[in-house]
Amino acid sequence: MSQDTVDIDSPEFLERLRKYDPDAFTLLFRALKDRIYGLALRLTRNRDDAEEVLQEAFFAAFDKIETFKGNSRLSTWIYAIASNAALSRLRKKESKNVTLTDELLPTLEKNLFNRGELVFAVDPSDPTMQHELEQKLEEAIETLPEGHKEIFVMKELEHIPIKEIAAAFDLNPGAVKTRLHRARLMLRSRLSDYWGVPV
Amino acid sequence: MNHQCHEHGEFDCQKYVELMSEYLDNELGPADRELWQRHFDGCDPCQKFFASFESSLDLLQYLQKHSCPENVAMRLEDILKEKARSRQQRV
Repeated sequence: MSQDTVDIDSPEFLERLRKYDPDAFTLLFRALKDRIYGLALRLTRNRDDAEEVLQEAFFAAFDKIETFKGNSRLSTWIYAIASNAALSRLRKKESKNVTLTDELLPTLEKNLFNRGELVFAVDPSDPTMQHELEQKLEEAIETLPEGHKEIFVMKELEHIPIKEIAAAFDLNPGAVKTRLHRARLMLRSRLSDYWGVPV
Repeated sequence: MNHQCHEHGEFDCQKYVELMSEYLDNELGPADRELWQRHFDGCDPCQKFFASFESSLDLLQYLQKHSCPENVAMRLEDILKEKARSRQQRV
């Protein structure tokens, strides 16, 4: 079976993995390696860490494949393993990000609302501005608090449905929506240069 | 908050900001969606806020996709395959 035609989320493919079919693991790895690496790099912002997380995620998936219950797609399950591995690595590095508490939310949203006219300060489609914008976006994502960042990346960059994310992290969908919304508000605030006014 | 919404109090604007994601993701029920839209149509600051909220997400398209380095991919692929072969022999 070629890589182009295999459905890694099908029950048949899962059965092959559960029988430890070497070709199935190769196909799984090839199908997801770039996305898992990208997710890990986005969360850790360090190439060495991203490589370690990639390895850790696939080895953990290999070891736990028999316990995969199918509550989410297999790919989402591996994203969640990779996210947790990346965050654990960040915690060990004593990340100074502060987790947003529910008590802080009203103040945060009140401040976020403080804005004026919507005017682009820069043209994001200008090639000379793209590198700067990309850096700004990466920084904005990096500084999202733990518990929000991985959900934001999975939803906004990997386009994984909220229900799937909730299942993968064992959260209820409402909690995922709340965290996603906070993360989006923070992103907007941190991209304030692009609105031409302080927000 | 530095804007005054003439048709609704500040709490209303705050509430509508809280619901922006659900509106954007098309997850508001018909009644809430209508309420949200009614407030939105009459509130210029909320319209501007929503425009920047939505645009900040649009900017994500400019993020570069990262690829796993080839040497790392080859090494891990070989290890995984070997682990699977070894496990198969044991089963």
